[in-house]
Amino acid sequence: MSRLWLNLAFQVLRILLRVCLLKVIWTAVYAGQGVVDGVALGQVIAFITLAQLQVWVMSPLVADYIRERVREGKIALDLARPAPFLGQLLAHQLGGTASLLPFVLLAVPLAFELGGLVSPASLAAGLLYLVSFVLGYFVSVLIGLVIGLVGFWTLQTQGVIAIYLYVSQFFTGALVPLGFFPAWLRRVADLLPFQAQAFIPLSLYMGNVAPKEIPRALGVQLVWVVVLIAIAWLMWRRAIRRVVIQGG
Amino acid sequence: MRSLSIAASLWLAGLRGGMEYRADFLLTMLFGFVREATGFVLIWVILARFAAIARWTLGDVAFLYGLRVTMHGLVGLGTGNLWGPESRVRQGEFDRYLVRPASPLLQVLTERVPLSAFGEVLGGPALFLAANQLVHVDWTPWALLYLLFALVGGALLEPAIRVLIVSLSFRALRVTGLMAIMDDIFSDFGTYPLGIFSAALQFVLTFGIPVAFTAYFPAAVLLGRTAALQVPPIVAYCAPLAGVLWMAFALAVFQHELRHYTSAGH
Amino acid sequence: MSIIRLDNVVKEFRSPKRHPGLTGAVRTLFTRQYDIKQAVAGISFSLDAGELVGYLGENGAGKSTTIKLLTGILVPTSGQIEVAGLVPWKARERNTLNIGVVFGQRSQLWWDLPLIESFRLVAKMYRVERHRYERNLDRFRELLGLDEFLTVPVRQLSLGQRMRSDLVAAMLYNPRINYLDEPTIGLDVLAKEQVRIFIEEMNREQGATIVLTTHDLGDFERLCRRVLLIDRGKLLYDGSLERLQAEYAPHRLLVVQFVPEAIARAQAEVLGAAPMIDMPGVEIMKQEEGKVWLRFDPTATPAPALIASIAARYPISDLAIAEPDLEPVIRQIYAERRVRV
Repeated sequence: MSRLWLNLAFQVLRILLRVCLLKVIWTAVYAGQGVVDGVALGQVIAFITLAQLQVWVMSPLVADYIRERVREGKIALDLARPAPFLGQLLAHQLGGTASLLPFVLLAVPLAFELGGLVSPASLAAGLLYLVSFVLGYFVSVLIGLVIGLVGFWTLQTQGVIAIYLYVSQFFTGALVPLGFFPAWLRRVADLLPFQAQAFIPLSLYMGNVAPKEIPRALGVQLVWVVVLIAIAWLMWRRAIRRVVIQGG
Repeated sequence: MRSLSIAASLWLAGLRGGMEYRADFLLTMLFGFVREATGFVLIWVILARFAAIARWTLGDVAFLYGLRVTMHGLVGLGTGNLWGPESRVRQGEFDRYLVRPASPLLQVLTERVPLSAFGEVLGGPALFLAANQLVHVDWTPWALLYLLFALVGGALLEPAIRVLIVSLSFRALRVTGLMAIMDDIFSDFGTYPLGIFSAALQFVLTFGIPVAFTAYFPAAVLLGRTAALQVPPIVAYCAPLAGVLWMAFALAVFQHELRHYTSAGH
Repeated sequence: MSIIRLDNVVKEFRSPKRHPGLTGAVRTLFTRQYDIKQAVAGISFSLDAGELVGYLGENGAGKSTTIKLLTGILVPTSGQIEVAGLVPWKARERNTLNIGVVFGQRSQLWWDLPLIESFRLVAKMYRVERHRYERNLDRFRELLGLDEFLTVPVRQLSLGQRMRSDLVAAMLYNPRINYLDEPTIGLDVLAKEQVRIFIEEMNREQGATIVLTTHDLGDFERLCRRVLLIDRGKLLYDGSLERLQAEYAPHRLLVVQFVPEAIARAQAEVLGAAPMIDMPGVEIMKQEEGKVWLRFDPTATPAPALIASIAARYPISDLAIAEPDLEPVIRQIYAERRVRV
């Protein structure tokens, strides 16, 4: 039990370290200019800090679970019984997130102090954030599921997860605000689900979304949830078919 | 000479072991490469918008990045397995290394060679060469020699820290996670020209955890940027030496702490 | 000329005194008080080259610690150790060239590689020249039936296969001394027998000195003439197995089966409590259906005499002599925590 806590504590440390680093980098990048492209340094730092915390809370635990099942050779059984398996996955994910929460709470005051985290732009923003966060959480769970299923074919989930973590951070704007992306890269970011996963909730929190854009933003998240469910379902069926042909 | 041959055999065995373990060699290599590439794209995006960071331009930063990634790849090839042993010390599995006629450290290092390091060893120099198009470095024979020394010396620094951490675990101290943090520090903080950090932090990253000596100082020397450093230029020039000194220190500590090894368990 | 010598060796383990509770946990961080556990509390013995010795003791008695001291893994708190002329913890790497070690619970082979690769690496590390390597390998393959799994990665081997492989790896370079720590643990009957035969052969053929630590009394009875019994860090007994048995279990058992015609007469006499056998130290343990179990003291009445005496009076159809069980002997020794020899 204490080994788990120690592990999580170290994770918090790593995140705070990264947040501090990003803060230093952006301060240096701004080189004294208070505002660039209409974005204040303080906003950039706050955004990044929250984004980093979010990435952590939304880690793809489901992918890890599937990876273990693949490794143990039990995945065939799981795929054949979708309902209980999905139940197990959800339990694993929620359980994992629950054990993170005390540490997240621990990290928040530190994030305010060291990382320049700020409160939500308004009460409305805060409430919208919660709704959007839940949607984003679903998106991340589904992405985790898809990644896990990819591991069924490549047997290499670990590498895929690693890449996902870096790439998702990047395209979420957790390292560089999307506003600073060159236009073509911005378009790429728009096509990826990471917008729905993290960028939209974050923008709502910071109050960066105009009121008339809000329904559209939440809509985008919903669309991605549906799309990902479809993708996951297709992959699931493919996987089952392969299991049946190969005999697991 | 015979011990060199034994070391080579063990390393090859570790490599083969790694390949048996990983289903797809190429895929693993790719992952290592992509991981570093993503880190670079970050800087590239920043510098595409902001022209310079602490007066270092994109070319300078790419130069530094390529150098660091190459070193990290070498570190991975040589000591990638060093993440494992401190838990092995706790579980008393270290015994098997102590009853064989070879350095226990060597045995641990060669047990499995992480293939992702190959991705870095290929990607790093590629980036470095690309960066050379953007900067003006006078590649005299001396400069080339210095580069070689810098690579070796720089690649010794992170392993030295890892060996020190493993040595700590002989005293039954819990150092889980410390390795990961160290890797983060070397990778994340070492990616940027240290000029962006406060003077105090720079000091810590130079004489505390020797990140500065890894790639920053050698890059500064080769790019002719030693004037802006916090330390006298001569220190930067001697960066490769730091690697050797730190490693010698770490090995000495390791040997000394080996005495305190109490193999736990049965 | 002894090849292994221990002289009053002591090994203590220090651990910080733990205080209970939350404040106690904080205190523990700052404490300067230590609990001292004496795993080995002054052991002395010496072995000659070529001996096959059994090292017996309960869990936590100090068996493994002694082996680790002998192999140079641990440094003794006090006392002298000399193995083949070297002090193990001082000349650790040189000492390893003289010894082979098998840890029953953990393999020393390269987990992911085919078995044969591990052997080649061992040969390389111990500087075994090709000719000797191949000769040894052929002999061991024959003795232990390795051919069927030589190319299998070690991690896929069954326990029995892995144990045999570890043994081979330990003997491949003909070390002068072998420490075998629970080499038959978890093996089935067949595999155990194979391993025991192998150990016996190595001792006989190559004159290897073998220190066998085990819980398995079957190993013991089969292989060892000399016993070292350790309990709570102290050596309780150092001597021959026979002497131990003679002292604690001097009696042997004779089981006699009478021919059907004689059964009735024998039974009547037994039931009648007429002395069936008028010889010293002979006692009837039980009888059923024409079979009688007789316990006798071979020093008082040698087996041949007893058998002759019975056969003279009753026609016998079958008989058997059983060795006493070692287990009650050992249990008794532990119970008394000392040895009266």
